[in-house]
Amino acid sequence: MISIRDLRFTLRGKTLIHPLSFSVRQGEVLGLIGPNGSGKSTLLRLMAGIATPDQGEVLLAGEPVKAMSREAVARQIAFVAQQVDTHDRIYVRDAVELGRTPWLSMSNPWTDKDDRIVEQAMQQLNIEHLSDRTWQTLSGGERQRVHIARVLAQQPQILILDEPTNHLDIQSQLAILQLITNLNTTVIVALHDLNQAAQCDRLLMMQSGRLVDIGAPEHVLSPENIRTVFGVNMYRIDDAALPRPVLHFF
Amino acid sequence: MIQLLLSRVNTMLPGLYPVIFSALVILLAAVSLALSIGESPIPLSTVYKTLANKLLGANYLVDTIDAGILWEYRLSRAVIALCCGAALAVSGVVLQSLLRNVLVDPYILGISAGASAGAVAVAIVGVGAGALSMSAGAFAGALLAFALVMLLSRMTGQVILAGIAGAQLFHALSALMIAKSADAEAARGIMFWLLGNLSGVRWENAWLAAPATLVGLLVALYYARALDAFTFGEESAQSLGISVVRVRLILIFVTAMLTAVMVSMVGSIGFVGLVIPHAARYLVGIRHRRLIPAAALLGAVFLVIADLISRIVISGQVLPIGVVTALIGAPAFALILIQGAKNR
Ligand SMILES: Nc1ncnc2c1ncn2[C@@H]1O[C@H](COP(=O)(O)OP(=O)(O)O)[C@@H](O)[C@H]1O
Ligand SMILES: [Mg+2]
Repeated sequence: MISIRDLRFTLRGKTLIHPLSFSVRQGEVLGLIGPNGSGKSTLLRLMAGIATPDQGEVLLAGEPVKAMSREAVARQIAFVAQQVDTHDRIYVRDAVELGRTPWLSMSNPWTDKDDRIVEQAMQQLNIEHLSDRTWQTLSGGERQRVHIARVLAQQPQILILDEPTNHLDIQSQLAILQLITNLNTTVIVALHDLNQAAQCDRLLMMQSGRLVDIGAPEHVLSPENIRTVFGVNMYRIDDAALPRPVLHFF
Repeated sequence: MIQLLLSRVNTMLPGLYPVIFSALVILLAAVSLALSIGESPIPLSTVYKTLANKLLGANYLVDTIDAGILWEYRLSRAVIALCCGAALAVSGVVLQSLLRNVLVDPYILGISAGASAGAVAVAIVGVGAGALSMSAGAFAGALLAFALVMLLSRMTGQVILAGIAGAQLFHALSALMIAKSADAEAARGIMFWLLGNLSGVRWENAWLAAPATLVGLLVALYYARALDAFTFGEESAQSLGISVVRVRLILIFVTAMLTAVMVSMVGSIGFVGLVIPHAARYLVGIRHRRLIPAAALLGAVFLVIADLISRIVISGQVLPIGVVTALIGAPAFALILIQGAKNR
């Protein structure tokens, strides 16, 4: 379980995250929503231990992340940033194998078990057939799937993903969303599309670096919240022909 | 037993064997040629007999003058060329991975220029009052240059331009120190050394070059997995459990050390650290457990051959080896740039 206690982040005199506290439950999918620049990425980077807060702390099962080694954190938390790219001609298989890094050392070399974990992660994302392709030959959706396979191979308890469906076609978006919501691990994911966000277990809504609301999607995605935070009107369409209610914005 | 070990290594490093093996064969051939060819040609049979005498305690009859030239001059020189090539190539691989930029190496980043200036400060100006060796001065200069260039690159976001500025600054400092302190004859000698020159090297230099290269190589290999983790950038490496700051610091120290040791002996030699990593990546891929040994071997081969060329291309004269590596390396670098532009 990951808890955020009184966390604040300031960069060059500008407070990007105002003090906020919340906890993420074991196994839940927590969606982060908010307009561009509201601080979603910054909050995720703080939770992943990439950025250091200037006040407050992140607790992993009660233990402050600050006090843990980088490697120990990486065994529990995996993170895919918003834009991750490389000019290296890395093979898909090698990219997924990177996920095993925190588990390996001189005394714990690569074994068959690691091979199995990598293969399983690739199966889960349906990318076995891409194994011998290089990064540069992949489409945006394929790259995102490789990133997610990599963090699955990392076998974390908590998965942090920053807008993983951005710039993908609708089919890839739905596939990735479905995968995320069906994982057994705790997932914290920033999402742009509010209809997709509605499929999370809980939502955390942000505005200008402040936590506006946290709770069940039908509670957080209220017309009042949407008007204050996004400045648009919302109408909820409940139709028996749809698998779930659809939010319309105008 | 050995069979088992070899097959184990092979499953760990597929595709590496053929490259390592061919590079070793080519390296042996290149060293043999480097020992045989020169102002006074020595037949290969004499080369091998002398080596057998010296290394294996054999008792072949060989001309003592030939044996002396071989052992005292040519072999020490070949060993240093080999170490220097390996060290610069490994430095190039490490810097390119750490900085996420395939167009950098110790030369481009001004580390070599800083090392030159440091060595000049010790040798000519007398900084350290004799207590500092040229290598130590070069190491200090290399670190200073690197720190300066990194600072400038942080402020501007332009690594390469920062490197060029740093290199120019330290070259100018060297020139200034030389102009102020040395007479014309000595200045000419130093300028020649600055361009990269293996003429003056002896066994005592090899005894520094070889262990330094070995240590650098082993440290780089130890961090091979960490370097792999930098593939998707610094933050990605961090989220994979790498202590980015520590790894960076250690590896930057190691590359500065390698560069400084080499520069203090043979001057600054360009393009090896830049071009060889590309060739090695092309042959064995980007995983560092394969890339580092392959680059070391290719660099060694390249510099032994470049030194050979520098000795024979103008009869009766020695060309600075830096000129040879630039003549080969610059067009190769251009090809890399063109290839990169095509792939974009
Ligand atoms: N490296 C940075 N330097 C300066 N400002 C930054 C930096 N990163 C983010 N910000 C600012 O922090 C705020 C939050 O950004 P971000 O967390 O990326 O928001 P979101 O992911 O919700 O779009 C924005 O106002 C942005 O301009
Ligand atoms: Mg963002």
